[in-house]
Amino acid sequence: MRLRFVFSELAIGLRKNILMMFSVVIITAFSMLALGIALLVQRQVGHMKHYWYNQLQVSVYLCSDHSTNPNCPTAATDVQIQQVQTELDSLRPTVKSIDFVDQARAYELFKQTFHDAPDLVKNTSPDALPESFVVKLQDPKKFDVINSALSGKPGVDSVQDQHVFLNKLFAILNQLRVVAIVISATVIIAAIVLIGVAVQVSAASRKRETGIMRLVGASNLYIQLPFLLEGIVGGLLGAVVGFGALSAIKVALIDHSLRAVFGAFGSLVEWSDVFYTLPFIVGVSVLISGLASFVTLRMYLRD
Amino acid sequence: MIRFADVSKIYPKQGKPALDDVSLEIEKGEFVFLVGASGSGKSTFLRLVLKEEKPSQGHVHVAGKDLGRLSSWKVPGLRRQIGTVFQDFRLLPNKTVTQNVAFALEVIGRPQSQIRKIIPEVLDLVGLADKAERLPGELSGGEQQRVAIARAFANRPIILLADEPTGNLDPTTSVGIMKLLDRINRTGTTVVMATHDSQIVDSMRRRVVELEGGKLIRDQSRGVYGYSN
Repeated sequence: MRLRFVFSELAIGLRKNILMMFSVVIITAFSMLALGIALLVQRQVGHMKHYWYNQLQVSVYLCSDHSTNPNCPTAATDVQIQQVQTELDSLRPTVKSIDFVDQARAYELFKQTFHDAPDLVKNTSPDALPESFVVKLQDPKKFDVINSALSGKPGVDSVQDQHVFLNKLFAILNQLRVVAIVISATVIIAAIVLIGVAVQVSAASRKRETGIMRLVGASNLYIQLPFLLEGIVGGLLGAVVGFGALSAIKVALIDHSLRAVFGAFGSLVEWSDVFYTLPFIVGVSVLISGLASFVTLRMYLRD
Repeated sequence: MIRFADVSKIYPKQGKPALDDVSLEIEKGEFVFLVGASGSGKSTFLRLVLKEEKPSQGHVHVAGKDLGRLSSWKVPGLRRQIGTVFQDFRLLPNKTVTQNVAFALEVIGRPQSQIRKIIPEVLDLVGLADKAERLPGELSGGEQQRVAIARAFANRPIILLADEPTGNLDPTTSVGIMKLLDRINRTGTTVVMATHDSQIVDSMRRRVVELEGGKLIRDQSRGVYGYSN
């Protein structure tokens, strides 16, 4: 097998077919971008899952100077705080543990959670944050018990279970993932067809050469290989462009915009997650371009 | 070298058979003219030897191998042993004479070192050593056919098939081509040439196999184009 010959035929083919190659690259890039997004969303959900384990946790927020709740004319007094503590104690064993978070600690936790958004931290002073009781439940479904016992009690601003919010967030993320997968699958199908056509066009434009090759006794593999490689080169370039676009999205969208808003719910996808998608993107693009080219060539350049 | 045993070939869309119960044996080193009107089956005969077509009935044997039993991945190997020359030359227009001949050697995996040696030899044989860097468009019909012959012969095939090689050439040029084919035949290559050209056939007095309507009607060892008395 003379590789030099194969590569020179490949180069000729790429040059002759440059427009078709261009469209193959664009479409493959788009489908790989969609695939990458689907994978990133999946990783994001994974990152956020550890917050899921805090579903056992309920926060009883005490009135602060900034509370808007009509139940909170003033910040919670020491007496009121003590009463809330007593009430919570009475609810054991449903209540497994009670943890009082004062403003200093709340501020520390806030700084930790939003470490990616320094502007937000700078603009928030410790006394803007309410104090709270963080209550761990034996049975997360017993949220209502705490809620009814403490809502509206003097000194209590709100009783919050992050459960509901997280459910909604996961639902949205799941939808996003499904949409990305559907888009990706659709465009992948388009890419497969387009690659098949591009390879056919390329082979057709070299009919004289392939005819002579067959006559003279070149093996089928030798005849088909340059065209097969053309298809794969297109697929690989598409993968590279798609991955580049995915990285650009990570920088532009995630790093600059989303991190500030959603950073509280677990880390957002990092570069390690982006690179996690790379083998999938490369693998799928090589697979689809290789298969599409191979099948088309077998049908078209059949002996 | 080439043996046809009760071979018939019927193309699906046509009623009449292209070849009808043809049996024939060609020995190594022979020079055979295949004559007959258009549509008499000459081209079909050659295609069967190359396994471009499969016979509807009967068996084709080339170099001792039954083509019917030859698996498709071995067909390229068969074709490397057979050189072909056509009426329309079938050269690559954007490649030089040297590149055209080299192409045939490259695609079967011959190393550049060998190719560099073979090409001058074979161009010399066909008398085109001084036109090695010309493009086909710059050559006359006869010269283009010589390139085609060089390409067909470069791999030293055991059989040379020629399908109306002088069809597009004038009588004088045709003679030159025939001399070349004769020279090639003398090196031991079996030559089978399908032709309309009665003058050539008559002047060379070789074995003549005549086809009519797909049937083999004449097989003469030192024949002429038309019936001899």
